Amino acid sequence: MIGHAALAWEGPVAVDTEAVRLRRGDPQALVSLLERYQHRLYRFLMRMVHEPATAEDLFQMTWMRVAENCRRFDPNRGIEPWLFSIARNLAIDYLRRARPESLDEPLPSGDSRAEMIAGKQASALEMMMGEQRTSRLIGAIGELPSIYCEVITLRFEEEMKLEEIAEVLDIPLSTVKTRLRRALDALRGKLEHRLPGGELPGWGPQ
Amino acid sequence: MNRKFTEHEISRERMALAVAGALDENEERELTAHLSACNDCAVEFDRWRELAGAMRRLPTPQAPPAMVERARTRMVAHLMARTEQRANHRAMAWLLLFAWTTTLATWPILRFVSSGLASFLDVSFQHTWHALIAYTVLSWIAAAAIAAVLGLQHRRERSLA
Repeated sequence: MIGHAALAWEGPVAVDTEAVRLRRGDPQALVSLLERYQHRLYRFLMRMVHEPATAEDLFQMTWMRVAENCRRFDPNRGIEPWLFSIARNLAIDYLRRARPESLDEPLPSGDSRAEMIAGKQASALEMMMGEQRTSRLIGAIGELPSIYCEVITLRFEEEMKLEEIAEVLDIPLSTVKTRLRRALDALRGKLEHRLPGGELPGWGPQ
Repeated sequence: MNRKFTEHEISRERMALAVAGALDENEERELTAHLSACNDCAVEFDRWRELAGAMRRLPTPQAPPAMVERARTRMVAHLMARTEQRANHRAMAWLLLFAWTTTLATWPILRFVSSGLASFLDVSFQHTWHALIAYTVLSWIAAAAIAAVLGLQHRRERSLA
C-alpha cells in the first residue's frame, strides 16, 4: 500500500522536477532529454526532409534551439509537444528556404504552400530500410505533402494524442482530424497507384 | 434504401479516422454496428487496420551516435556559457550595488569621524572634502584594477582549456 502511494506520488514529482530543471538550464536535464528523444526526433526529421544530411543539420539546430529556449519553457506544456514543435518549425523553415517560389501565398484551403510541398522520393530511406513492403510504405509517405506526412508520422509513429498533435502543429483539433483523414486517403491512393490492379497489399505480419 | 446508402457512405468516410483513433464514442458505435451488418465494409476496414498497423510498426531510423554526441557537446557548451554569463552579470550587479552603497556611506562616516570621534581623539581633518574625493577615486581605481586582473586571468584560463 505504502509502495503504491509512493509510486503514485513519485510520478508527477519526477515530471515537475524535470520541467523545473529545464527552466533552470540544467545541462543534465537537457542531456537526459536528448538521450530519450534522439531517435524519435531524428525519425521525425527524416520523414519531413527525407535527406540524412539535412535531417542531421536540423537535429543539431533543434537541440541548440532547445538549449537557447529552455529557460522559457512553460511547465504547463508537455515536453514532447514542445520539442517536436521546435523540430517541426525548423523543418518547415528549411523546406520554405529550399523551395522559396510562391511559398508565402496561401492556398484556397488556408494552408501555406510551404506546408503543402510534396516530399521527394525517399530513395535513400528506402535503401536503408531494405524490406520491400516497408520501403514501399515509407516511399509512399515520403511522397505525401509535408502537411500530411507530419500528421501521419506524429499519430502513427510517435503515437501522439490528437491534442498533442494540435499543439505541435499549432492548429485546432478539428483541423488535425481533417488533415489526418485527408492524409490517410492520400496515402492509400499512393499505395494503390503503386500496385498493379490497385489492390492494397497485405500489411499484416508475415 | 436511401438511409442504408447514407450509412454506408458515412462509414467509409469514418474508417480512416477510426484507425487513427479520432472518432468519438457515438461515431465509433455507429461504425461498429454498420461493420457487423456490412461484409464489404468489414473487408475494407480490415485493409485500413492493416495499413495503420504497418505504419505503427515502421522501423525507426537510428540517430547516428556521432551526430548525437556533437549535439550534446554543443548544447552543454552553450548552456555552460550562458550560466557563466548570467553569473557574471549577477556578480557585476552586486559589485555595482556594493560600490554605490560604500560611496554613499562614506560621507556620513567621514562626518562622524571628523566631528565627534576626531574631537574625542583630538585629531583634526582640515580637508574633509579632499579626503572624501581621494578615497572615492582610489577605491574605484582599485576596483577597476581588480576587475581587469580577474578578466585577464579568466581569458587565460579559457584559452588554456
